Amino acid sequence: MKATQPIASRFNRRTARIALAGCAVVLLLGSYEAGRQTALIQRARPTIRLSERASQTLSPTKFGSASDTHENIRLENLGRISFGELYDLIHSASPEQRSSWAKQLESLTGGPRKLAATEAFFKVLIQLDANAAVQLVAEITDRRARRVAIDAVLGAFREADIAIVAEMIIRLHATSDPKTRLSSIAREWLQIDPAAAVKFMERHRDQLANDDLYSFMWDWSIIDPAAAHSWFEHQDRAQQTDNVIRGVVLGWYQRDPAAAVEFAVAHLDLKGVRGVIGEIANGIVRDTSEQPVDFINEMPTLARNALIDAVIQSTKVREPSNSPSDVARWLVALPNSIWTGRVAELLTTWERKDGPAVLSWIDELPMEKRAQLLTEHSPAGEGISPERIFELAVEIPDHKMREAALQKFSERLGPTREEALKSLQKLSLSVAQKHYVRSFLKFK
Amino acid sequence: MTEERRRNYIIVGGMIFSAWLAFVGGREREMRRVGNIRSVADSSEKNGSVSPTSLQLTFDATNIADAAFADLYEQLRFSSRETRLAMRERIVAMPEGPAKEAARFTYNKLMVQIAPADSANAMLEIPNDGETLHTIVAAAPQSAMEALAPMVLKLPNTGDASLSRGLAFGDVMEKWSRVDPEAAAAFLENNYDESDFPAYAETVVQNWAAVDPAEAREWIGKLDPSRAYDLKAALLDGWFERDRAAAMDYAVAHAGDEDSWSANRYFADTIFCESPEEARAFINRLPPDQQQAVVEEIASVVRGDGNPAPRDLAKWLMQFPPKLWEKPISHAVIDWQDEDPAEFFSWAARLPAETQDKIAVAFADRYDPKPEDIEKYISIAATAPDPQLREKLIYQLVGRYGSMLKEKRQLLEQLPISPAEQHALQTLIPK
Repeated sequence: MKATQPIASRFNRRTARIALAGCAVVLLLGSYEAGRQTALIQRARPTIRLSERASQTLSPTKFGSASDTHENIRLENLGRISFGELYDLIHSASPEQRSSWAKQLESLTGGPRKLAATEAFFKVLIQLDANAAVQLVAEITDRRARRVAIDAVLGAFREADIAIVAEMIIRLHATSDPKTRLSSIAREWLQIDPAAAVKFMERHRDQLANDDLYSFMWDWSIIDPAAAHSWFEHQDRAQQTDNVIRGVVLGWYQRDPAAAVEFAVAHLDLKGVRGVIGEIANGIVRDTSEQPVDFINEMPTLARNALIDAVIQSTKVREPSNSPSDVARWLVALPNSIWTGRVAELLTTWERKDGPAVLSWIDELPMEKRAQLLTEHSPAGEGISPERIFELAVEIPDHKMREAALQKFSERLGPTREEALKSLQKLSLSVAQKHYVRSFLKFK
Repeated sequence: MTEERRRNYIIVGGMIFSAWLAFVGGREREMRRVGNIRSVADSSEKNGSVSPTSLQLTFDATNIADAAFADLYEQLRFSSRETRLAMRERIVAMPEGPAKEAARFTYNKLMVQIAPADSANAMLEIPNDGETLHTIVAAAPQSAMEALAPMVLKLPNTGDASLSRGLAFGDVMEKWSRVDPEAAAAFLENNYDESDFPAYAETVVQNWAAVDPAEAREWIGKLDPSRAYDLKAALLDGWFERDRAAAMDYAVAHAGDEDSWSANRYFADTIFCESPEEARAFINRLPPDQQQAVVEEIASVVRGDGNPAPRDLAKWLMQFPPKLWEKPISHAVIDWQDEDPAEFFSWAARLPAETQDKIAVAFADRYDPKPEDIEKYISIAATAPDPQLREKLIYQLVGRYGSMLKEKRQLLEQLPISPAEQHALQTLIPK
């Protein structure tokens, strides 16, 4: 018996040491985990407080507190809680739970709360799981809620997910939401990954609305005119459509106006280019104060003439961007050499609409402008006194210009010699003056 | 104390100390993982600089666009303001290019979600940067709208900044009024002058009516009549989205009101874009004097992307009595002939004679054409395969614009019509 005692004691001591070591390991691991959990609770505390406050003010049931389960959530309140709370909630939910919430959101009664909740939900989800978000957006049948969800997606997506969002746009544009446009993200995409954006545009070109294609080219030309221009030149003729060239030119114009107009003039053979030049010209007329005259002066003659012709033609539509009077005032303010030979048609359009205004404007022009203008065009028509035009013509100090102005004046008296003479007779001019005017009547 | 007892005390004390170290270690590790970097930023600030390189984040400002949102958000949500500013400075200092743009977009979207008030303040520093203003507003949570709206109105209202301000405020009002129209409307009213009330009240009313037409109507009713001017169309548009029949009934019942003339014209456009059939039924319920104006509005406005093709518009118009469509149909007829002349001619040829006459008149209704334009239109008309239609179209053009063709009489001799008809046409041109 005595011999076995120390052996048992030694055995018990060893067991106790092993147990003690085990306890120490467990204690260390437990302490480590407890430390982690303390940090997590500390981090979550502000969120929990906010949740509790939100649930107290919004509904009698608890919302979002740590003790809540996902099933107890009142979805209509999602729009009223902080982004952080919502993030915690959606981040911790399973994909199935998120999908279930999306469906529950749709079944809510229509109203601002539903829309707010929908927007808030998708704004978080698109950043956590873009694929799931775009899939769930497409499944929303309530049009207004879908619109809100789409805007949430378009506003908050991660840059890395932009291609997923673009695919969603194409899909929705072709199906339920034709007004959804790639243009809402194109500019952003062209800035963060131009190669991918262009490739996407090329792949989906046929599915894009005309204004979307225009908008894409416009954005691209502002961001990188050289690349957009080069791309355009490499397209087949059939692909160089109105919208494409319009976007290239007008976007480029924002960066380098002279180069853009020259480019347009070099492509006058393409359909729609004249219209684009007209748009630019009308913009210039509108923003005269911001467009120094030097820009027009320094343009190559061909481009400048195309620009001026375009702006004059654009005054002849039903609702012109600029009235003939605005264009005339703008044009004649430029150096005479620029508008010589190009003003008659414009003044004819204006005098048909408001003869007296033309006359009073000419009256107020400085002699140097007025003389040049009257050699180009002699106003006539309702409200325009021919006697006054005659007076203005004979007042011109330069002999040659005066005769040229009187020549124009006599040409407006009538289409045939007989009709011109008859008109001349009716004018309140002296006999000598009539004789003088008659000397300018030249008919074949 | 025996030796053994002392040893036991040392062991227990050591274990407690080790457990405390483990607790602190676990806590520190977790705190560091969630980006508790305030102390670092604070100490940097005390040193007089905020060095971006001192940020203890698992990503760099230059690659935040590639970070998973959860990581990014977790690390930044409780970060100090100084840390965020340091990150912004780092992005600003990046070389121009796609990486910088991606970081900039990411930062702006993220910050308005983490610290909306700071983002709202930051807007004042970028009055001309319409794109960034839009990015911030679009990404902002709903709760931020109340802070963003007054801040946008503080932006300068001159030059280029005026455009950015207007667009940003439009974004704010659109988003805000969708989910809290009452608050958005109250804000507009309280900031009538600064907010350019009339420009944005329509958005608010439309969004409000789409969710609660009665409240929207009540709000309009309480406004000073000068402020309520032109809001009826927006009310009807929004209401239509919620309850088509009720909105149309209301418009018809109030067709005699002073403001209904213009409101019903715009409203009819909305109905037409949704359902031409419903638009036709609606127009038929309006007083006769409004019918003409509404049909003309639709025929002239509803064109372009996403809208009905000219052929469909023409056919839709012709469901009304001729006196309503014979003038406005010219838009559709001219567009159709431009797009697909063969199809247009084939359709027109099959029309009854009397209707065909009216279409020929519409075909010739061109705005302020030049002689060379008339020449072009005549050449187009001459390609109509049906002889009767061809003659009608040419007659209308020559009859209306004959005075422009004095120098171009020979043009008529080349037309594919009989000598007798050619002679008849010559008589339409004044000598």
